[in-house]
Amino acid sequence: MKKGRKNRAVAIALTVLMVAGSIPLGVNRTESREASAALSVFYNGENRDGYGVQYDLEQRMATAANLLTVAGRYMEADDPALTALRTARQELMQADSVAKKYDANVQLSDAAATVLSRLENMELSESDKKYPAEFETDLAAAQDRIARSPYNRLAQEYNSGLSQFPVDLLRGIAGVEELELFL
Amino acid sequence: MRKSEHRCHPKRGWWVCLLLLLTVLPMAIRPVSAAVVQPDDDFYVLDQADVLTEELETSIIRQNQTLYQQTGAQICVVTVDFLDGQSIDDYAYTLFNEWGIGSKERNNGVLILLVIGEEDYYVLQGTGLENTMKSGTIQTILDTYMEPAFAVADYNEAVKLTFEQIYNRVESIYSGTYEESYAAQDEPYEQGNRASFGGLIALVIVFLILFFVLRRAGRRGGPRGPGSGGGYRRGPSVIILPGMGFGPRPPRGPRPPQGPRPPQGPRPPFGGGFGGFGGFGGSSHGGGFGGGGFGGGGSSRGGGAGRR
Repeated sequence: MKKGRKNRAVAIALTVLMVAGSIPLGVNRTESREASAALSVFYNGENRDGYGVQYDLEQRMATAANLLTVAGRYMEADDPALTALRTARQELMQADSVAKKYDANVQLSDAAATVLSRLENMELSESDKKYPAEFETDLAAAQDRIARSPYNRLAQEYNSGLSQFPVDLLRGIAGVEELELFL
Repeated sequence: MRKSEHRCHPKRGWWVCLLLLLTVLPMAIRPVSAAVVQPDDDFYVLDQADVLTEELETSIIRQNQTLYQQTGAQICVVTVDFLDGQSIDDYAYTLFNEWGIGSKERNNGVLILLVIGEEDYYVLQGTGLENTMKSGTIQTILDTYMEPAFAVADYNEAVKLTFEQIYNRVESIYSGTYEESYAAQDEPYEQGNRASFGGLIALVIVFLILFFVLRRAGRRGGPRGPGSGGGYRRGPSVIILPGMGFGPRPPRGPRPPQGPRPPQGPRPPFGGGFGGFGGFGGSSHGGGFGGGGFGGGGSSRGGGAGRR
């Protein structure tokens, strides 16, 4: 009789544990699915055509490399402004998550703006004169495309889903993070 | 039972027509956006600010016709007075995608937008020209050719010079004389013409279906009463419209899970389907149906160049 009662209590406890454990697991699975839809657009574009945010970040990295080359003709290699741009570009290249890419991209913008403003006040050769404006426009154009990317809409929808009950209570246990918006 | 119980009113046929018209019209009319100006019959030039000469407008239209036939590219010039609070890049982006400038397959349109009252301008290229005519390159063209004339309010000259430069640039991309490392696409553009023809066929089919449905509805009409002057026409029991199909689509099975694909480079040609007919089947952003325009269904992701 006693043994039967004990077994029953164990069974109830196990059931409660399983139910309690399955809720965050379910939340994690559901949210991960939605997050991966947004991330697919981030990396591959809306129509899987390659024009995702990642593509435009790579365009910005390429422009930053050109800017480093031209600026290197007029500034010392160890100039803090150049070093900052080089570091930001490197960090963007190595960033392995959306959040890290976001931070590195912001750093790249700031560092590039500093180098561009320095170049503006320098006497450039005839052939180099057009580059600062071109690089500035290319960087801004890629940023504009990033801001218009459908990824932001998907990420926003995903994030607002996370703030709804009961997900908002469980997301900590479920290990679900918000996606960074590239606006 | 009285005969009149079998008979419908002759006006019922008109109701059927009206119903059909109300169903079909929304498909045939380009959705009108209050946000940006709509193209007129000329499509390539819309001079709302009235700053361009007729000669320049004619020249732009003529050159565009040749360019479109050869490459599918379109260079539209739009002048307006004000944007009513919108930013010029947002306005250009919306306009570009609503008009569907450039071919749908190549996304090779260009928009030259001048906002006279706000002393601003902006040039936006289609996705397919992002790498061959970078925004930085457009910026140099604007700084060199647009700005000097624009600054002294010679808008006609500003547009003339800028259009020339962009036209030459686009032409060189397809003729193989493009300077940078780009594989020139020298084959003549045919997709747009084929697509126009396809769009036309689709329209004819739609109208044929409507014609037969209406005719059949007329024949199915009940007995004509003596002296009724036409009898009644019963409406069709089934209306088939494009996209409705003939029955419910069987449910699709769940897709197998896919791992994230590594990022890949852009593919210049986009999609298939119709294009080059008023945006019929155009870009996902816009490109309506007819409406007097001749947009090829091209689209832009934004990120152009403007006044500094």
